[in-house]
Amino acid sequence: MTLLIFVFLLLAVIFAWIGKQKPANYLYIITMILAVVWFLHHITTPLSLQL
Amino acid sequence: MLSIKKIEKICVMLQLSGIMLLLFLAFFFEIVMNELPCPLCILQRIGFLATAFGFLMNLRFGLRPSHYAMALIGALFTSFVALRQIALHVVPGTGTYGQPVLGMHLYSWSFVFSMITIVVTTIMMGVDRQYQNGNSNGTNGNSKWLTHVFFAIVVFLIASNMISVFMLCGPHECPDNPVQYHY
Repeated sequence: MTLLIFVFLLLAVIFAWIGKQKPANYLYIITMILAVVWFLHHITTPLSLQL
Repeated sequence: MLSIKKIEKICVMLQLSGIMLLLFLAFFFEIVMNELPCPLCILQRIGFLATAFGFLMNLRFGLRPSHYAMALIGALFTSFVALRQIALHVVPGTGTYGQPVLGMHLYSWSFVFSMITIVVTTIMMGVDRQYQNGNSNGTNGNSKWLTHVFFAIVVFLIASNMISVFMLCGPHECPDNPVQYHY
């Protein structure tokens, strides 16, 4: 999952670099959603929490 | 005399340089001092890179509130993850992760720097005059090559982080307390 987040972020930066703003924006949003989901996973799993 | 747009762009470049320096320092601690990153440490790196992305968008497509917002979301995410890691070790006797640097652990520094980024970016975002007289479409002239250099460094940082994460975790979930590279 961590690797996948980096892949999306890398693609976002490359799209922005070549001037494609819209795909870069969407990829950034996907990256942040995945990062937040993964962060919540790391909060809840070790403590066995059910949010 | 420097226009407000130029001053803002210089500030954006300075903030980008600061984030890059932080990420290179993280690599220094990982490779030279063998302080392997935990899952929350990697998430903080992602947050800093997301912040850098917002600043890169400012350089590439012009100064816009939406680009500052991207940087702010990245910094806010970093601060939440860092705060979570501080909370894990805040109770005496619960141990720490890694060695302290200048009196504080890396995750505490990460929280401090993300907070500074949030405050500075909010102040920069609030200067209305940078959005007036039409929106300049990215950088031009002398600063154009600098933008490409910043993009190249961020791409390099993301790619090297990907390699590091793959060497550390492979296709599996990263261990909570990594002690060695698996690949």
